[in-house]
Amino acid sequence: MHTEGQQIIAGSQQVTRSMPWFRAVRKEFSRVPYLYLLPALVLFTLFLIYPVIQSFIYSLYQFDGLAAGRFIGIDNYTRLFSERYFTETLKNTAVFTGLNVVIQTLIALPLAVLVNSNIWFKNFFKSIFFFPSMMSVVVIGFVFQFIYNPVFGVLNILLKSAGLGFMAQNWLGDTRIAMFTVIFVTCWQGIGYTMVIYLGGLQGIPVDVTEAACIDGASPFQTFKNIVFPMLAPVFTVAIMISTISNIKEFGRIYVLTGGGPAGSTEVFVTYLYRNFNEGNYGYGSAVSVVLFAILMLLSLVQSRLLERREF
Amino acid sequence: MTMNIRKVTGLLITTALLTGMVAGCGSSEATPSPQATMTNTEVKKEAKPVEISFSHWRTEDKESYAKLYQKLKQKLPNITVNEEIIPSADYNKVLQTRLASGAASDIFGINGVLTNGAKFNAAGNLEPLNNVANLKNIKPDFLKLTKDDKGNQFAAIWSDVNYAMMYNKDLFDKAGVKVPTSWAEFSAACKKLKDGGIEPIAVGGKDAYVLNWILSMIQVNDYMVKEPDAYTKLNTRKAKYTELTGLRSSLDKFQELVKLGVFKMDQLGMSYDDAVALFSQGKAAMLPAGSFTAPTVLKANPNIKMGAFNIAGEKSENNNWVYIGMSYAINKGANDEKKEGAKAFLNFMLEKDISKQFAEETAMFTTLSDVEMKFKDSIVEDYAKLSLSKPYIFPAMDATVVDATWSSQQGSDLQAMIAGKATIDSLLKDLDGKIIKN
Repeated sequence: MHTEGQQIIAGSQQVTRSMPWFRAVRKEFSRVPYLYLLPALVLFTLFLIYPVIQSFIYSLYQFDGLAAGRFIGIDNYTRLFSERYFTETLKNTAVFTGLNVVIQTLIALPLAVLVNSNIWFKNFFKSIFFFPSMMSVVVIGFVFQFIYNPVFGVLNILLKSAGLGFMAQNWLGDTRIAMFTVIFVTCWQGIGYTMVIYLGGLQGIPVDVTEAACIDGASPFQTFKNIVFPMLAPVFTVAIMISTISNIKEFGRIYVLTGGGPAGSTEVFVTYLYRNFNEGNYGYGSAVSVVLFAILMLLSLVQSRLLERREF
Repeated sequence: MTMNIRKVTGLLITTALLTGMVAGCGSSEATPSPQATMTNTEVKKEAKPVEISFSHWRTEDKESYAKLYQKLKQKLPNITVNEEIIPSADYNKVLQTRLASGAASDIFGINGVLTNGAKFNAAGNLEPLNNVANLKNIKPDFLKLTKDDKGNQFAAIWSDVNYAMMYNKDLFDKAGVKVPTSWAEFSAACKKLKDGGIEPIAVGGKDAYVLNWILSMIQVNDYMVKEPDAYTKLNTRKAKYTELTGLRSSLDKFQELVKLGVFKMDQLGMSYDDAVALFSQGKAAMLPAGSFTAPTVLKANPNIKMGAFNIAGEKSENNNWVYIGMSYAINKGANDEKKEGAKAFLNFMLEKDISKQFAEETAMFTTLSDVEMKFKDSIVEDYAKLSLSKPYIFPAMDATVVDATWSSQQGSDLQAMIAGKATIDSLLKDLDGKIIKN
């Protein structure tokens, strides 16, 4: 007994068998869907694939962006990986990204749970937590620059007037703490956004599941640990991936706050990239961007593979 | 017959009139005199209106440029200048991108004319300025710097600034310090000020270029005296940074100031603007600064008594580090009408009275010869005297030999030296890493 679908397929196979082979191919591979895809494909190739390929080509040249470049093979790459400063930049990027992702996740999740519960003023809190994410990174950078200034900054003045002068620091000028200061600002601004992603996940969990657990006598913690948390796994994948990629690509706040200094202690991939392009070092800068692209691709692949195992 | 004569006479008169009219048009169109195009303002007054675009990065000079345009309106009413000020941090990048895409202004300022200007010219982006009459007003030493191998003048250096140590006379008196005339005296003065509880130098160490300024101030009477051919050696690949003993000597002097506590980690959190504020408030005795900073200090504290001096060398050498302020070039890609308009505008700016007025307002000195500048502030007069005494312009580094980021790398490593995270050897090794493989 054949279903209706199977009969249609069998019928179409009979028709194609009776046709010359090229007609059959033409029938099987109808052009129409590809024509629909064509505009998107052209735009994608023009604005993504082509620049990536072009960047790779530039990275093989000593190129100042104006005169025709000189082909130097992989010299830009060998110079890049032999530079002490670039290795430091890699380390800084790893520290910045790692700490930001961990801290933002650890704080954003409880906040999301909080604003998802039946507390008073939950919409007010939601807005307050999300508010920094809506502000321009440049504005935030300048505001915190004023707060952290070692001489005229509000923070040190407040600490001193509160009798806590021993806690006053050179927040952005001390090579030992500048990175943590920048991470604090990034977390402060980014937590709201991550919280909203988790909140979306929490609101997507059917209420009857948690209610059933409650009826079965599960405590709120048990409900969260055994039901809510596992059901949030796909959201974790998305949130961590977004957070990792955006932190690796971080530029604005660091550029305004420290410019990558002092002594390169907050120099990350993109500030380093910017510095090279800004000073007309296009070939070398392209090599940095190709390495960044490769790292991001690799990270996305590894991360999605690792995290999808935990998903339903 | 009479009718015929009348007809012939009428025809002749008409022909003569038409010929005259056509000839009149032809002579002004077909054989323009360069002299007329460039210098005769009367001719220009009747010329076709032309709008030209002009870009530069000097936000602080906006008012002075506005006054200049008013004078332009009187002298060359057919020219309208559309000014665009691009922030200095992005200027080179924006200009380069626009030149590459053919969208640059008709006339533009060049920041770093010896490196960037030469690069733009080599790429065929700059219009030769050879027929701009007032180029002759520029001092020959400056004029030759922007002449290429083919004898084309690719840019006009319009103003220069000099960098020196600005000092607070009252704080020097309080600590019993005199203006140092040798390196030993300078070092001793810093120590004496520090021992007296006075911050010797306001350093905006967050901006790495400030540390490069200080090093250059030391180098001009040390490295450049001991090893005057160092840049030639580097540009011709005959030496690496690690082999330059003169550079090492200047870095030793920088290190000496770190050990004395003159440069310290606290300063790495301060921007140059913070340092200027600190100096203006009388909280530091010295400020490494260009002459153009003087008006800002005086605006913040009109009562401050200031002077300026060079950081002298071991044998009291007192070269003065002069830096090219504003240079102009014309976009080769602009259409002929705009290029002519831009040349007329440049010619106007190179008039002595115009340049003098601008210099006196902005504390950036004119590069035109036989112009006597008078400044209302004595500190700017001090700078002007230094600028004229023994000017020294650092040669340009060849960007095909040494990566353009060498300077920012040096600044970053100087920050690291202050933070105790780098040594002279590691700095020189980092700079060697900026030499591009042949």
